[in-house]
Amino acid sequence: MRINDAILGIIIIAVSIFIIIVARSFPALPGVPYGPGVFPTIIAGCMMLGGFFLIFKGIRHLRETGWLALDPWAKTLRTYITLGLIFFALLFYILFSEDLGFAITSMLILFLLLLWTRGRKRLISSLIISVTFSLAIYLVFVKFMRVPLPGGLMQGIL
Amino acid sequence: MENIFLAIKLIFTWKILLVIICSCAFGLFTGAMPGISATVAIALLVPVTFYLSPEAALASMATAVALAIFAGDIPGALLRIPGVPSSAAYADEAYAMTQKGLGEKALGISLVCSVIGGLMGAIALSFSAPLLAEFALEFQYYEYFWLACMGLTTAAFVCGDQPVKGMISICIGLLLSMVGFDMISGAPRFTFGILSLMEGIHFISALIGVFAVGEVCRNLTRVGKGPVVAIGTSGGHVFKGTGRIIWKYKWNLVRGPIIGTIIGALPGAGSDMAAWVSYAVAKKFSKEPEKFLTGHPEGIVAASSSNNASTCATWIPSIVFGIPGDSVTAIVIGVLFLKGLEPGPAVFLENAPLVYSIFVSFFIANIILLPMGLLAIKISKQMLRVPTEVLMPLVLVFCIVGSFAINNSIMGVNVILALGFMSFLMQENGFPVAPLILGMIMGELLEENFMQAMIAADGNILAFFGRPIAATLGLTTILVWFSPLIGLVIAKLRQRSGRTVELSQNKTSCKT
Repeated sequence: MRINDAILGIIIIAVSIFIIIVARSFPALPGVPYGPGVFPTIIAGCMMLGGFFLIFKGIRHLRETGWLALDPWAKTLRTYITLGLIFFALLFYILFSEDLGFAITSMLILFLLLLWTRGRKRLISSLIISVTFSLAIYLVFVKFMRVPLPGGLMQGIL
Repeated sequence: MENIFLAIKLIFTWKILLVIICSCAFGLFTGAMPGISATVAIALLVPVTFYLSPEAALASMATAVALAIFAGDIPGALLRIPGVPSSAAYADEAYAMTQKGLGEKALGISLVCSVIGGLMGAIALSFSAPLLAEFALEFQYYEYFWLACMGLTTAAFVCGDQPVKGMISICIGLLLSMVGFDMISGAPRFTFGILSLMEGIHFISALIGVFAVGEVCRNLTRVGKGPVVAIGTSGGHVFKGTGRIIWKYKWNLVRGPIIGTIIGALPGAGSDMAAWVSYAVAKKFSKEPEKFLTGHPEGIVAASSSNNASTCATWIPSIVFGIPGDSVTAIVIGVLFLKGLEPGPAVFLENAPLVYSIFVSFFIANIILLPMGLLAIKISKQMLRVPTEVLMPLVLVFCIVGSFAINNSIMGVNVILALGFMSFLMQENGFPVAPLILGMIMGELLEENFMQAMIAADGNILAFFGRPIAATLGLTTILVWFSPLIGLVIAKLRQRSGRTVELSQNKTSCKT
């Protein structure tokens, strides 16, 4: 998925301008001429220059690359579902791990992802992998390395 | 001398030796897995290092990276998919040897050369780092500022074919490092009133997101595209005839590690660069350059010794100046800070045995590499059977645990979600992500030195060139910044004189 450099350049310039505006609002220390906003402004300035360069380059090569070029793999629906699944797996963990606990959340995420990547034919082995891996990680990190992973529903059991 | 004995004493405890053995296995496995680069491997190792003593943590990272760099050659030779980026330079060559039925010979050569290169790099590291540290004690903000600029500049130029995108990547990294409280004025920056952003974006979770989650996305969207079945070795003797070949190309075995060490010692450039350059140099100086890419071992000798030497050498600027040599050592610096150790010349005075213990670890790692590497070659067929589509979801869960464990908060998982997808989109559009991580780790150093220098010099820019070393570093850096522009002007001038019109046209068509 290659977006034309000109579009990327515009996004980068917009972000840089936003950063410069935010950086101007930082309170300066009295008596020191260089406040906390100076350095971010310089860096955002550099980034903006890079953005202009990308616009220039993108327009020059527009005829060869077009506005958006998709690699073969990026044309399939499957790719987007995979990316969506990864996104929602992480989001699901963020939202529910506290209540469900690490082990159960991780099992669900893993099982779903494995089912998707390996197909329905290997349902049983996917299930076994997700359960053993989740439990192993939970036990190693909680008991051995003392990371307080959320226990959730299984608090008392494990 | 006394420090060396203390360091040996530190390392040779059963606990640390056990850590080293485990890290060996981990490094070999992750390095051999296409999709888990050495950087991702070290990033995944970080949560484990929290629970190790500083010397054990450093030893495990040094060992894992040294072995991963070799192990990357295995799928490079057998599948033509380099396991780590630094094996990419000679994966085609090694694969050509495999197709001739010389797979285990190629791996045997690459193993022995990796060991020799690694040991030479370790020697270079142990001798040059203390000397350089003495020299670096004189450095002030100006020198540090320029060194950091130089490292970032190198990173932008080395990673990827478009320096502008590298530069933008660095700026994003620098800006991410500014989130949270400013350490000079104490004012919160870019927090937008969100409480959990006040303490900043933790470097380690950013790194796990950018490298590991980004890689999971990249790998899973391409499942089933490459060849899955390894050709496999024919089961012959791995080291048969290795000695003779190495002796034949002994000068490559000298040149490769020297190039590797120099490139590694440059802040910002690491082992993949070293391998490419050494391979090209070997071809240039070869008596039979026409044999390259047809399964000729000469380039493998040069490049595989070079990338292992470079792996050690990247630790030189990292320990001495606190400016990472590549993305792996950027992580190492992050871990050092977590352990309350600030890298820099002062470490050699305050914590000399610990620094020397890194050198000892590298020697041990490169010696263990020989038997462990041999074992890995023998079981490579089984090892390469672990499919990406199983491995990647497991890596994702490991990323969650790792980012959570940094300060036991869900904030880390938020960070890997956001940065992981950002990294995926960036890489798809040709933005290298290693500069982002270097920018993030160097952000604080760069800003602090810049601000202090500005305040000390009362805003006089010329003060940045006031001291001889600072002036040299500064002028070199600025020259590199403008080098593409100068090149462009020269090309234009030549074009006007009409001599090389065709040549420059060829060049532009290559770039697009």
